[in-house]
Amino acid sequence: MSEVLLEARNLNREFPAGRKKKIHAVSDVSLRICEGETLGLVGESGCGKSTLGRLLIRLIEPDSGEVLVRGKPVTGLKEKEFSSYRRKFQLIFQDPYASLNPRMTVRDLIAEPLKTYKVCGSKEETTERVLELMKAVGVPGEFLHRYPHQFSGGQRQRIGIARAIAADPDLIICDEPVSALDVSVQNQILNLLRELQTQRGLTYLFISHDLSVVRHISNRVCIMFLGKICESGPVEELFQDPLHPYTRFLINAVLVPDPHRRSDSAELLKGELPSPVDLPSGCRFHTRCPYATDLCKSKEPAMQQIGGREVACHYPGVFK
Amino acid sequence: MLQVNHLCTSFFTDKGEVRAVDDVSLEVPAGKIVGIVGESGCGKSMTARSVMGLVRAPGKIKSGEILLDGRDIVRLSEHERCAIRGSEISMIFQEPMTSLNPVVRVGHQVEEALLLHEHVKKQEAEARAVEIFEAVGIPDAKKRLRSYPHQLSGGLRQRVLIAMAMICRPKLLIADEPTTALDVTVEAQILRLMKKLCGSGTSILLISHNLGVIAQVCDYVYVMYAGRIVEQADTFTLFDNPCHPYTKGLLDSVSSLRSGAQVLDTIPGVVPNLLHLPAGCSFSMRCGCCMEKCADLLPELHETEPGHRVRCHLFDKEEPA
Repeated sequence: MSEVLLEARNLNREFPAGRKKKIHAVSDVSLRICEGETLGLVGESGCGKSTLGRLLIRLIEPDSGEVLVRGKPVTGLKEKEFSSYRRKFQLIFQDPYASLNPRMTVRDLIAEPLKTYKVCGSKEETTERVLELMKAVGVPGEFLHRYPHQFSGGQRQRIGIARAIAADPDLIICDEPVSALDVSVQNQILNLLRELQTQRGLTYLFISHDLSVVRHISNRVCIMFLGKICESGPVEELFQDPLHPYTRFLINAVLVPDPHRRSDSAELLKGELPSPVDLPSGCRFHTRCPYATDLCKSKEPAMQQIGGREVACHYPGVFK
Repeated sequence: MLQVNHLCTSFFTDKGEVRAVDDVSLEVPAGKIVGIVGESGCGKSMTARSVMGLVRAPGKIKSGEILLDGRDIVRLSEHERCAIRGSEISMIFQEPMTSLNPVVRVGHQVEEALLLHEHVKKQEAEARAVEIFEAVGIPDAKKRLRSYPHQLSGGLRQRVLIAMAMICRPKLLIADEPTTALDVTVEAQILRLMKKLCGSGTSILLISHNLGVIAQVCDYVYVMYAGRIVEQADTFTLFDNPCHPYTKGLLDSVSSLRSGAQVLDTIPGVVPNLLHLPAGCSFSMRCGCCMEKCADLLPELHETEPGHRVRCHLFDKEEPA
């Protein structure tokens, strides 16, 4: 296995929710991202996947736990000391409409990270580099002086990607980068991300709620439920043989675009996500889990290793 | 049940006329789920809004007729339309977060339609509301009537909207992306609920960009592109034997994502600007099978087999010599 680029150990983060209540956004999450791989992070809305992504690159500080970059802890570093790492970690956002300043031209948008990290010396060099980046992401160079509103959603996302790769990062956190796009454009962006990964040796943390997309792009996957990782492992193994009941229900709920395979009889998960403010006792999934026992209600399952996989369930594979 | 003939809805903007819905004809038979699929901006929501009579200025229904049980509802007065809306046709919208009034208890919002259309007593309305809440799978129905929207989750809010739309037992339910804002596990629950409703006699016009949703629940599908219907067929035929290059492209995009291919199939280019559509086929700029005549000559909707129509020059009938 290649070198571990980024490691998180027992990260916790809570947010105040008024009247002494707290939202437990991320609880005791540990994970590793290896050099050159794509780690998928899947979960329903509000499960803490975006918070986790931001914790990893210190856009949000954790309450406890630590983050290590190539084995070196970075959690305690001052902002000034951390800034050399900042350049190596970039983000791509979900909403290509909201994440670009409408009053900046494409040139200025892509030049911004180049300036921030002082990549280029002169103005001419900057423009040249911007044009190179535009070419790399497939935005025609003649659009250099256009504004974001003159582009379609897919092209805006390309500009967002150009900004992210401008300073030559190691890791890009892709936070739902294709959810706002139409199917035909979604695939163009996924192809582009993969192409850039091969060319530039990028590592991705790919956050998404769409299982088909994650299955396509990831090498390994972590499934999150209510602030905790409930299962992780290599992508095909996990999809073909899920161990955590939640993983299986997620896979079952995927709507197959084939009328011959209608899932009319497949078992569906009942109820909805419990509130992250009043967490259930024991296993966080037990209120929705048809296999829950008294043990699940009282004791929180620890993460256990099964082969190359990790699963946090008292009865892994109980549904088989 | 519902029959739409040659509907044209346009927006008259400063920059010119935008033909959001262009010569759309469709049919929703009783007790069926009919789908309209297409990408954003293809006119699928405008078609639905036209049927509901919810097109706002500068938009206007230019021509065409919308027959509900044989009665043309385009030419009704606003007052007559109000009598139909909610009782005979009702609609659910995409965002369960913004379609409810935040300061009114959901019970009251659901009963409102009943009080308005059927003039029942308050108590009876409440009993019916409890009944419909139970039917759409809202637990603790009686207690929930007294909740405010913000106290409910996204899935429950969507169920409230469905309850609201269903309480007068309409003949036709128009669902505009009913599950897009929901999580996958909840999405599957809501779709199953819609199938159940259809089984009890309501026809549904389902609008979605998600081919998975369409494949799972629809009986018949219309594919829209740039304001026009480009292909229509029953669901099985459409997925087994897509004819229009656009439909093929869409299906390939989705299936290559699931096939494990390294490089995904895409449709090159982007959806054209509705202000500057080519004279001919609006898909011609992105089409791999584009021929000379495609850019200038608009193809007709040809019937390739019974119930299957395609708007593409590839399927032009040979002209008799």
